[in-house]
Amino acid sequence: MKSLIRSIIALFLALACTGVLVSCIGESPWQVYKILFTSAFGSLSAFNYTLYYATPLIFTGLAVALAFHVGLFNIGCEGQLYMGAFATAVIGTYIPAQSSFPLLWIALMILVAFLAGALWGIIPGLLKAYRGSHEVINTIMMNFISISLLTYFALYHFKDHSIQAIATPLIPETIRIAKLSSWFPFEHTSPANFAFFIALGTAYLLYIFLWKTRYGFEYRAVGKSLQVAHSTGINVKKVLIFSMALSGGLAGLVALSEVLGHLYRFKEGFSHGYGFLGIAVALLGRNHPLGIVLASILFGALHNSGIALEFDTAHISRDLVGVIQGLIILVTTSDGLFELPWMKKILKNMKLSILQKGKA
Amino acid sequence: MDEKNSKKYEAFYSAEGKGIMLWLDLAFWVSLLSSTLRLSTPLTFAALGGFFSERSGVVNIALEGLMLIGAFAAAWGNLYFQSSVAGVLCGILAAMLVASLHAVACVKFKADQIVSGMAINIFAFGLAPMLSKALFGTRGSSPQILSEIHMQTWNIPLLEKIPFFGDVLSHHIPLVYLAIVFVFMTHLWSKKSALGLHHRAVGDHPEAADSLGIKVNRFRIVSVLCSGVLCGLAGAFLSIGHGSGFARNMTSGRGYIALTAMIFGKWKPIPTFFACLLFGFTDALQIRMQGTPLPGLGEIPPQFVQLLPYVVTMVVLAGFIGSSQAPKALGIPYIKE
Amino acid sequence: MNPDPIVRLQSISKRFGKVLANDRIDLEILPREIHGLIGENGAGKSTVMKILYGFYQASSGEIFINGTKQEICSPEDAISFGIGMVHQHFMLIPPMTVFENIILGQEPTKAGLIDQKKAKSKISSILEKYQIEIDLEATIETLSVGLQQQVEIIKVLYRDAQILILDEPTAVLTPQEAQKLFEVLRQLKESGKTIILITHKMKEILEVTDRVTVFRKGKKIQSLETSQSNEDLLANLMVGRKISKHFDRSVIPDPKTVLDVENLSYRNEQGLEILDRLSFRVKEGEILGIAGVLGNGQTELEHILSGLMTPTSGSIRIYHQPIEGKTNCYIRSHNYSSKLDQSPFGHVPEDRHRMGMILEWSAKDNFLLGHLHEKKFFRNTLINQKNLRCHAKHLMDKYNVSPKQENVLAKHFSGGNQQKMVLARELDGHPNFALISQPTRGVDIGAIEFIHQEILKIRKSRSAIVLISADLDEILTLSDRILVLSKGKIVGEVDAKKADRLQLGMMMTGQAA
Repeated sequence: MKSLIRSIIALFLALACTGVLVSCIGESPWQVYKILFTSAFGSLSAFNYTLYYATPLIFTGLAVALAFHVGLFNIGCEGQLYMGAFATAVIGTYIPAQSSFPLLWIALMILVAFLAGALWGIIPGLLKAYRGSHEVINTIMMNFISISLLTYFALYHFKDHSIQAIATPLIPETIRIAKLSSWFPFEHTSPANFAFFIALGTAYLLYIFLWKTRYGFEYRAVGKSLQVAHSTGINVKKVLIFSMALSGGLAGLVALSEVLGHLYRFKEGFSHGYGFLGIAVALLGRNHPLGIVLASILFGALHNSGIALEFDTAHISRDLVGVIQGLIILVTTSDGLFELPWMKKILKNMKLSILQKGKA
Repeated sequence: MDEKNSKKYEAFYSAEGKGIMLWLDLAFWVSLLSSTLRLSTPLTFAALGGFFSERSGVVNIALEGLMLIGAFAAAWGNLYFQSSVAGVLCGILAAMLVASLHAVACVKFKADQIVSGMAINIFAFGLAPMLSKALFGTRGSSPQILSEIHMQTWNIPLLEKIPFFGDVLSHHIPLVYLAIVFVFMTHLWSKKSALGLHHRAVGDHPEAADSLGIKVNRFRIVSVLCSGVLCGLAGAFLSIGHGSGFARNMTSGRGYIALTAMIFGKWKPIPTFFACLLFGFTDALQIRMQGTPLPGLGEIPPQFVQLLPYVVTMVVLAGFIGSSQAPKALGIPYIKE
Repeated sequence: MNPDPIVRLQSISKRFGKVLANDRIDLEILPREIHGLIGENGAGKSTVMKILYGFYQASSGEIFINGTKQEICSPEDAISFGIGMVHQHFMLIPPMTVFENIILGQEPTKAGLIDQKKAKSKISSILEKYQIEIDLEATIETLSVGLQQQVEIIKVLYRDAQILILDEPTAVLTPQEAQKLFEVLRQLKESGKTIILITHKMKEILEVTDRVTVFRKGKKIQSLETSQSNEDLLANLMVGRKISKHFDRSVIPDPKTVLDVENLSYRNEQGLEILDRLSFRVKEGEILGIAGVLGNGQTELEHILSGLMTPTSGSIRIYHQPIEGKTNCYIRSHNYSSKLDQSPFGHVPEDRHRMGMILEWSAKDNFLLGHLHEKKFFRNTLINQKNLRCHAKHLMDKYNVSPKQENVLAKHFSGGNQQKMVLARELDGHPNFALISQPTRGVDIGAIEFIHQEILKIRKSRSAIVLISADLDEILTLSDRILVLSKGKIVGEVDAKKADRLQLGMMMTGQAA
């Protein structure tokens, strides 16, 4: 409850700051807010795009949050999701085009995506556990490395020469995940797909894992205090290594929505910074799976409307969205901001009004 | 690079099939070392920025974003005022402004310092191209800075006469020399001055510093602002010193590499400088290795060569058992009970 | 009559959130006296001195120095009024030199740089006056605790302090070092300084002070002349009731050897010999006390015995089964004896906040720590909340933890109750081998009594116990046998019944008895 209110306040503060910035550039902030809203939720197709952008963010948000609960900072989601996407796209091309068990093949591809991401995640985990080197810098470096490497492989060894872009060939129908439009009244071309529901399922599973199982208990203990965990008999190294693998695996699942669900191939630069936005999503969602789902939809909406912003205004580019996102993170993490007297007053009033509404 | 050297280098470079010979040539080494010095300059500035912030106890992974803002503002200033000095000042000012966000969030509002740094990076990587669109019309890059208003290189009178060393050390833009001067000044300041003593105390044991009447939080805020100033210089070097205009993503991870250099340098200015030279060297080497066959290995694809600094960073971090040298109170906000 | 007070506190109150740490304290300190402040942990004596030193601001009340009212908003102000403080946890910066630590914050400068000459001449005049010898260029990390304390005192004198506040200065010293400190204090008094000594040890108060003020539960109880007081009187004033000191110490029939340590050595990363060929045995129902000045290898011994660190050489066996180099996880879950009613291992760590419990977690979750291999708390891998809650309630009841609410966060319990929870979790299974370190540090007297009784209870149920404590009195009351550790070596082994403080103190400093 309290954290929800704080997240909302963070959102509004960030939007207010952005408004000031926008008016400095010479555009009307109200116009911008309007575009932001209508292009995210204004129509069925807009909403579809919002869901589409939200899906990978749920995966990366969960990945960051899992690492966070273990006290680790996984900034390497970007590299991990690249690995997942590339592995599924390349291995996917070898899957038979016709099969009577498509679900089995899809399950296999999910495993591939997970393992490829986990591979990229476990390396900083191992380095942390055995060499004590800080995962933040290592994961950042791993991002650069994976993106460079995969661009090389996509260009020289697996390139689909029928198109101009650096991309791998299309994957067969068997392992493509259905679009939401096959069940819901969306347009046929709209990109959102059933990976969204897989993401929701993953969020629920992660919740069970973290709060209801023995392993989750160990993970959280390590995150709260490495020394306490160590001295009460938890194998800290194992937790560090496997949590990074698990986190990388979750990030690798982005391949479901992007490769299996929409693009049907690996394409250079397909990720719009989903890995980094995962940090923002996890933080805004307070590292709780439910919060992450909500925050992902919000950030998906922002991302979606950024493109509209570029078309509908003269001077503003989609980068404004980055500014908003950065500000949201900054405000959310500034705990002391919510201890200021005037802020406390606002929090109290909001709580009261919500309680009154609840009674009425 | 000055003209004489570059001609010599190109003449040699174009001689086909003599890749192996290249490694034995003096001119090649002059150009390699000279560009090592140049490429390590932004790292040195940013790493010194990291030093100021982290020695005082504030983790700063925002170096990357601060540099980008500095680069953008410097390019704008150079174009707007038609002066490279004004450009540098603009870069400093802008990076300091953004650094103040980090300072206030971390010191005053006790934010998680890594999260805040990440937020600053995301913010900066949005803000710079957004302002570029608003001021220059494209979000990708600024117009080119023409040579009339571009920063000029300096020839150091006596030094340039010395063979080899003169070619390596002379003919650089002033910022390169400024970076070296800063390294030694910072070292002296940290070791010998009263404020330098306070700076170390605040990062190692804020309670002790406080008990002796040193204003811990004020000191930390100023230190983070200093790191903003230095990142501004680093950014200015990229856009208006080394390059001739701002480009989106032009920092390409240098902020993080600078941070690693500082860790590698054990949070001390002079070792940090040498670490920066090492990273500058790998960067210079990777540029020269592109398209140049290596003895025994043949030609290496450019994507692989570009990985060099990143892999070196990871190896350095893993091989060097760190953190014992880190300021004791690094990353912990100071809260009076 | 009495001279005018040099410091007068009038009705000082201090509130931390809901806790009233000081309740209308009135206090007068006379010039050129050694004034003792005595009280239990959390009685408010340190808080009031931190207010005087400007570290905290009083919620209400006034401070008079030399008869004039003063506002002290920061340590800087306090220093300018001639007040200096030696903190319980030293305020020294370990990687810096003695010189740098002394001048920090008061550096004479010349053209922006530190004027080394001027600073050094001032320091050496202080060293000469009080006949202290110390290497100014040594880094603090390399100094013994006793020397570090002297640096703290020089630091205060360097700032021309007239009033010195010392917070629990003897907590980390050997009896001999403490004697030396008292010498210095008397000398300081001779030269005209005023000294305020905070302590909870009555012997020190009686030995060195001129007047004493007793604190209890945030209130000042009474100020009196030391010459008119005695130990019983002070104890009564401090606690408000009599303390029983009766312990049940039955003889255990036919004890077998449980813990067998042989030639245990440990060398740290810098190659320093931290533990040097330790050999000892502990039997069922025996408490082996390990005495020694802090930092002589106790922490490392604790970490090695509990499997947190690997020894360089030597063997450790529990019931003949080797555990050296095994992980903590293994030591906790391995079956050493056929006795089913005993858990294998219990560990009460030195620092409960850093090693013992997760403060942001509920009491209930904290009880699950260390018991992750026990089937009764899990259904497959899912946590069995019902069993866990029952277990938590049962333990909180048995160990008298208050408040008795298993969902309250651990940080909201008092130090004594937190320690009781750690004890309950670790010792309730009557472990084969119990490793207990500093069990009563930062715990109030009522809880100390309870904790000591609990340790004796598991002794009765045939646990082998290693007790590491910096508190000599605790070692003397609980142990059957005492080992003295100095510089990583066992320098003496004494039967607890025949041991006396001074003899142990001699051993602790490495002098032969």
